[in-house]
Amino acid sequence: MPRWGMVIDVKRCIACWGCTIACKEEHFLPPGVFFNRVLIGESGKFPTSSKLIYPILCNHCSDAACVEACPTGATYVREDGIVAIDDEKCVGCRACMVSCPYQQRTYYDEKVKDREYFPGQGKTEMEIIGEKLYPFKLGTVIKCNFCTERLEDGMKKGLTPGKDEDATPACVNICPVNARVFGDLDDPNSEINRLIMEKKGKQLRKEFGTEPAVYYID
Amino acid sequence: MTYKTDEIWEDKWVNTTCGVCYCGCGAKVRVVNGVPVKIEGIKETTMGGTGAGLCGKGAAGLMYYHDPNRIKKPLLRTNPEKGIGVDPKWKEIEWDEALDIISTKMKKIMEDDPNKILFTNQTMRASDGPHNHPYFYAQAYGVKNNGNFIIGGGSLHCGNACHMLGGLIHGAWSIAPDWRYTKYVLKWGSSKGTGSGHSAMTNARLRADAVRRGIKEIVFDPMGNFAGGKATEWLAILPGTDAAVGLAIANYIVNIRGEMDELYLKAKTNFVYLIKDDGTYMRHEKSDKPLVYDTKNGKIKEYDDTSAAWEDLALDGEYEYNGETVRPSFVPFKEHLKQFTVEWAADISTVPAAKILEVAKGWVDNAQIGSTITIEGKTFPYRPVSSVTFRGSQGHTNGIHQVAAIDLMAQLVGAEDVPGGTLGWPAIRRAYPGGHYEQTCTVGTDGVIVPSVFYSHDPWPVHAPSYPATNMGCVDIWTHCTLSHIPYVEEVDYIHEKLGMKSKPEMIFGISANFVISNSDWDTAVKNFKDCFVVQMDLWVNETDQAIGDLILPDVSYLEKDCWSSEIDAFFFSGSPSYEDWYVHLQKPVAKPIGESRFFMDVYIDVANRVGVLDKFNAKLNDYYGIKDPELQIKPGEVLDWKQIGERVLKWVYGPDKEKIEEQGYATWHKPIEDVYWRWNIDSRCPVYMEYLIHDRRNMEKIFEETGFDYKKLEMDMDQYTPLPSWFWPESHKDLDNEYDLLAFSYRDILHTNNTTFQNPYVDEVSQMCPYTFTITLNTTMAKERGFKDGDIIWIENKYGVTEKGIVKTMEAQSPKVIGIAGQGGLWADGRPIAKGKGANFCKLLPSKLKYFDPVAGNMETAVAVKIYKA
Ligand code: SF4
Ligand code: SF4
Ligand code: SF4
Repeated sequence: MPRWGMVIDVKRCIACWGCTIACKEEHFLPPGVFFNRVLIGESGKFPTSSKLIYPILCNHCSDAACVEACPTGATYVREDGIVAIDDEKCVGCRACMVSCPYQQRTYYDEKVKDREYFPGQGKTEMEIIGEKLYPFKLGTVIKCNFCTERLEDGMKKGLTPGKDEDATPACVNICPVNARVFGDLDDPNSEINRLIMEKKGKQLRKEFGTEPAVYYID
Repeated sequence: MTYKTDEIWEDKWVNTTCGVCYCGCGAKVRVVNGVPVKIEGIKETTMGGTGAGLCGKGAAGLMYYHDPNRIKKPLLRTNPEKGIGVDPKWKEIEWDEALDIISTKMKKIMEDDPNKILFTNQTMRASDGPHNHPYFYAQAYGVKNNGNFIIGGGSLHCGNACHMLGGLIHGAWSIAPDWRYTKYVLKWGSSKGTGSGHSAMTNARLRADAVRRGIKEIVFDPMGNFAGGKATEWLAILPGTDAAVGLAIANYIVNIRGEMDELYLKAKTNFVYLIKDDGTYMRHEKSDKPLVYDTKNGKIKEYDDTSAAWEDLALDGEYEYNGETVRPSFVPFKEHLKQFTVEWAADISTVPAAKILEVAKGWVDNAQIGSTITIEGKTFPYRPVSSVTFRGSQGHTNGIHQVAAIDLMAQLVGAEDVPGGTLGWPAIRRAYPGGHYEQTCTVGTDGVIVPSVFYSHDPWPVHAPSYPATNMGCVDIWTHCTLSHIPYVEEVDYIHEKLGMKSKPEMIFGISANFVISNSDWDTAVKNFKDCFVVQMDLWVNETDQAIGDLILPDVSYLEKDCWSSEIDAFFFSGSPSYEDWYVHLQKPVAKPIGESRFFMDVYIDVANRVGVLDKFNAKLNDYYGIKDPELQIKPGEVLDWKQIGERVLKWVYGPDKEKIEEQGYATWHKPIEDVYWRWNIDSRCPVYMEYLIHDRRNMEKIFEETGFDYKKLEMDMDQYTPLPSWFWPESHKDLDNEYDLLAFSYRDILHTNNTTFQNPYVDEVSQMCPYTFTITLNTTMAKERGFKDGDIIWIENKYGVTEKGIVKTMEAQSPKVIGIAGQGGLWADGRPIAKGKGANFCKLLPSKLKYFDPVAGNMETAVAVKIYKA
């Protein structure tokens, strides 16, 4: 069984926000909901300051705070490492939202569902069809799922996640500069393990102790 | 999550071309039940990012289709009063009536002077082509040259000086580093490879690999954001002062280090051409060709005399020809450079002298003069250093000298169109195997390259300034303007009157331009254009339409467009500048047109037919594509729509593969390596010594004197017409004083294409998450000293009392003497509610007086002296 993970190369990333927007389209996310974001900041002082760019998403932590916090077992770590939410079990208590140190979770309710991309002008055909193609359950918590459906559908067709587009997360596919690499953390020969080894991949805020499956290299 | 498959009767991907910026990356769109729901890149193409990569705004392009604010029927103004803040009182009318109004007006104008019609081209919205055809279209009406084109969103902030020199040196519209082989890249006010410029994502992909390979990238920029923020080293520089640093580096190479690629200078530049005391070429008495001195046998010869070996041509010395003293143009050039010390450049630019010296050393050390490299079995000189610029540094009154100085260092080490150096977009387009349409550059007068295709007019040979002006842009006089600045200039009436332009503009027939808010001072733009009958084809009613539009026609977005020509013609500024194979994309409709919207090319054709000039337009198309097959030629009297024309042209261009290519939406074929690194295969010379400017100056001054055109009163700096790349203070710097002590500048945010992307809700959302996109940036320490902090609302005011409001965001990585504003925000059109009120508008702060334009290339001064205070 693989354990899925991601490497983000911040040296390559140009902060184009492609990942953020492709993810929104993939999951038909309403306005204001993001499974993928880009944090932009600075370090140092003029004239030697440097720009910081960190694309972030759910880290699919193997020792996830959200899993620990969830009282119903709705949030759980799958065998393949993906941290999933069973919306049948989720009661919307939002303990996970409070516990996630990476702020990766969103509560999906009527208010969020009713938002329109063109406020006051009604939902577009895309928003309407999106609710059918990719429905979220009201009163539950949602977040990045490493594009589980893509992975599973792709693997059923014999495709390899991280290599074949149709079995790879949308944010990885869209990245124009190959800053995102997806693969199996348990496979010592995988491209992501090679990058983590060679470039000394780091987890974001390792000290939180949740063991993220997303690594950053620069 | 379950897919409700029973309700889904269609779920497909359609290949097309992204139309969100002018780069035209390959894109595919997922369409479910007729609704476009997702955009990705096309993995199989090299046009665009890695794999299926696209940038964020490209991915967000869906919203062009879904926007309920799109206009759906032609709109006619019923309120005769025009201006900002005046309700046009639109009335919906039928297409037939609209086309009738346009053609009736045009016919009437044509009886008098077709040059009363101004056209705008569409690259200001996006890459939804075709690109070159609006120029032919205008010609079909009898409009001369490029003089009647005015520009919008991309605006005069575009690359007039870059394109002029790109054409003269590379036979191309634009330049990029050869990412695959380079080692040392200097970027000057350019974000090539970090999100902007032509072929943005192709370059971004190539750059990312280069950076991983370990190249050094040094960025000179007032701010360390998109380009500087990603650089190996960012050097803060004041806007418009790049030439000073460039000249100091050139001086270092020539006079201090003394290490140059002499063979290149002798073979590939006009530095060996012999000049007289007045700086002009000594020409052969019969052939009129420039002359060179052959040191081997001590003879003066024509420059292309093959009996003289390149290495024997003189770069120094003094000779006599027909009793006159002559010397290679390199002699005064070398002497001229001596004044440009690094200390002097540091004073002007604020880049520390030690840093300039370090960069200059790095440049020569990395240039590997004399080395070669073998690629695909062919051996080329290897010069892994590249110096590139674009809109930022050239958008100043000294634009032409900025670009010339930045190019100079590459010339001196021979790093032009060779592996590792600076590449133009291909100067040659080979025909698709089995098809036609091959575009090869030629070598023109004095050995200078003539691009195979160029927008507007050919940069070479330069036509002599002539009187009277025959078009609104007066390009008869300002001959180097890619697109002319004159229609925007405050003193336009005086200029037209003195320079003999009799007609006044009466009509604008445009494609989604927003020239009222996207060039300079809004009031001048309204004043200059409001008396025209303004027809625009657009997706929305934008600010220009609302202020002065008379008739707005609903255009299709790129997602609804069937455009076979989008990238065929754009090889010289799109596609891949590098060794990668040729790629051409079609734009395929992924959804039905919104409302009654129609593709502007079809509207063009309809109008031309009504006016009676369609045959002329069709003849131009036959000619442009070189269609020889009588079956495929468009015949007189034939009325074909754009798709039908495409049927013929594609058959000609792609031969038997036409259907296959239409089906897959793109074509690819091999680009021979010697077409990429063509410098030593085409016997041409770069006019680095800009001798033509001497003649221009003489001609212009003669015209000005004879007509009484008081250029001195208008403070037009004729001294810039000098053959040697030189230092001139940009006009904005001259305005600095104790009160107006900051230079405002604008920059391109990766999320935005001019102002249209401001109306995209996906882009809008992420723009709000980005700290800089919608704010005004100030250096942290400077802000603190002046009592500003993040979130403060401030006014920016220029010397002419024009003000703009914005929100402060402090930033370490910005020169303390500047303020930065991204793109073209500060919008107010009712037709674009998402865009309304977002960001700040920089353009309005730019004064429109003639003195704020580059006297040679017509570039606008895109920095401005301002003061700031709390609102
Ligand atoms: S990032 Fe947050 S939501 Fe994602 S697995 Fe870790 S703790 Fe849970
Ligand atoms: S798509 Fe790639 S380059 Fe763009 S922001 Fe995301 S990680 Fe960075
Ligand atoms: S760079 Fe331009 S053409 Fe390419 S994806 Fe982005 S917006 Fe589209």
